[in-house]
Amino acid sequence: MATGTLTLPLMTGDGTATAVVSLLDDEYARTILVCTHADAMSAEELSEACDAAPSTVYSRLERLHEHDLVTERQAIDPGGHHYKTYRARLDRVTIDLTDEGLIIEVERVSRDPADRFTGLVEGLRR
Amino acid sequence: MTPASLGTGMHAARPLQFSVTGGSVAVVVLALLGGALSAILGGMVAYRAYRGYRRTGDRRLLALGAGIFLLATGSIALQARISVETPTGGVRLAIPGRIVPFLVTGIELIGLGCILWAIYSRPGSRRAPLAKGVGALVGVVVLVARARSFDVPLWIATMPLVTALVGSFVAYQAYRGYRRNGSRAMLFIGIGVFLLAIASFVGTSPVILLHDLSDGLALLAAFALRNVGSIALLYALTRA
Repeated sequence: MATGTLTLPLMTGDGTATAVVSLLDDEYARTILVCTHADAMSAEELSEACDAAPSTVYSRLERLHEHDLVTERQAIDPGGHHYKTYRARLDRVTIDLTDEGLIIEVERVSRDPADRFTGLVEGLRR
Repeated sequence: MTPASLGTGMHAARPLQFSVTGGSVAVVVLALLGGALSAILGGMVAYRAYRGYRRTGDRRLLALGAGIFLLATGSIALQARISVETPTGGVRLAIPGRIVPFLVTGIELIGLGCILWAIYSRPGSRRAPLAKGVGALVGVVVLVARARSFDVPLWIATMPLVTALVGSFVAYQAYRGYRRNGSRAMLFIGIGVFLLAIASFVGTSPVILLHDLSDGLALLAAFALRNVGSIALLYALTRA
């Protein structure tokens, strides 16, 4: 699994890890992640699931995609039109308070089945 | 030629003589070796998968373990029941033994389906992914067909080819994992899965397509491939 680790001295620092944490503070972002954990969903479906306006969903999706927490895929509806579906990539966020400061680790599910395969085999070897 | 017999009771019409020509003794030796390798590999992977599942709670580890287990031990059915009889002029499989390779293929296909599910399913996914369903379904169909009839219709005869193709795909993903992550274990997983997946195809095609080719040779090749494949998997899980 891809890990992005950032060490933050005393809670200040550049954007990524803090952005992820503050993004998770947003209830719509959390709902989107939960809904798309098992199944890919379109923006329209998410709008219904979140009970929110499409614009709200789109803005959250953009921020989530920006931090690589969701993957985007093209799908085709029965009418032959392309639309985008989204799937959560976030697996785990770990926040450790240490002598070096706050360490925030963001773990994402591997996109590539070969990497997932490798991870599983490592699990058998341990 | 001295008949070499490996049945459920290990009965032999005559004791094995080492002056035998043809593939008889070699087949039996490889079969015994293969049985031992399959048992070791199956036991090890089952134990590791269970231990890993207890440690991480990840069901995909169980699925991968089950898949490798089936792939490795499916051929025990072949090795335990094969009976090689010799009319004049060649080595032929007895009629029940003729079906067994397809039984083995069915089990291997289910195993490959489990591996595909482990690779392609997402942690926490509740939907039954297509890959495992297809592999399992095909495997079950083969098993049912075997139970109902001793004939080998052509569509069942294509099963070893399907297994070879699906296994090649899994081996390809393992190879990609090796290239992307520098994991030698994945290289040997790929080699092992590939060899085990094509063994059935090598062992059965001549039987179906070229009736005058010696069945013994195909059997020998299949056992050899399986043994090397099992060794590769053992190496991947331990020392690679």
